[in-house]
Amino acid sequence: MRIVPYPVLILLALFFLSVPALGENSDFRRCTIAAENAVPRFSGTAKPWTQGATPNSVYTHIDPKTGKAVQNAAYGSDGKVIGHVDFKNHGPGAPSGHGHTFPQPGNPASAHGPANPHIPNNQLPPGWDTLPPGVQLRTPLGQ
Amino acid sequence: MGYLAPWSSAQNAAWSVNMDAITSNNAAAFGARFNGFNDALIRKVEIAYASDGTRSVSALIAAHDAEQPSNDGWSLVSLRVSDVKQFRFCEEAKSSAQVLSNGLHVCWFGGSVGLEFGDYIDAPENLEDFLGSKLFALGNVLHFSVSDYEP
Repeated sequence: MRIVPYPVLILLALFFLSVPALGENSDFRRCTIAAENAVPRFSGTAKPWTQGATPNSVYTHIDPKTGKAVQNAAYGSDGKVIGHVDFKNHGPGAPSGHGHTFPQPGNPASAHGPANPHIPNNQLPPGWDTLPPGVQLRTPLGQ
Repeated sequence: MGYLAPWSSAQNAAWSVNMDAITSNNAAAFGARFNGFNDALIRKVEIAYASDGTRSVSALIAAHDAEQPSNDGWSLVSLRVSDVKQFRFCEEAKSSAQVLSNGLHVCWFGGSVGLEFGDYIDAPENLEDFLGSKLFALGNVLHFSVSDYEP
């Protein structure tokens, strides 16, 4: 019987552990995971999903032309989007870093329109505006 | 018994009488009035085929309006691209184009005018770039009208 070296076993284990994550997010652009804390973090150039994401995760939408972050999407325990943080200036009262929390999970429209003010960056839930390592903001916060 | 007559290009022209044309000269003011349609909401998109074979694409969008004193400053904006040459509206299963987080991009390419519904973060740089969007309509004429906001 042939003995498989430990490094090979470790690499195989890491590969098979990664398979469910890739299957859940079949878009391979989404597979950047920052492991610095417990919140699963993904990033990619595709628009954020409204549902079916990894529960309690944050996805960073990256501009494919500049490589900079334009939006974060936060997901609840059922994988539905519960908030956005925009890193573009959206006009008066909506500088980069403003957010939206969605009263109807999975429905971003539920927090847009009259009587739905933007949420200042300093009032957002912790971690919602965190970016993957090395990724810059499209527009500096507050501008 | 009702009769649904085919929509004609003459009706298109008549319908456009109550709308204002958007040209490269007033596009900047139009965009500024509605804040670039950032965080606006798509209500409806319609494709119409006229009896003469021409096509038009119309969109109804709820947007913040700098000239609207009521309804928290929101209005309904109707946009219509006439003599459409090409269009695409492709939405993936888990995403939605309803909220225009990237705004609405009005573009001119030679004698053509295009609407890009926020698949791109910034306005496309050229026609080839524009045609790569998942959400666009390209035609010869663009009109708009504004009405009071309704939920």
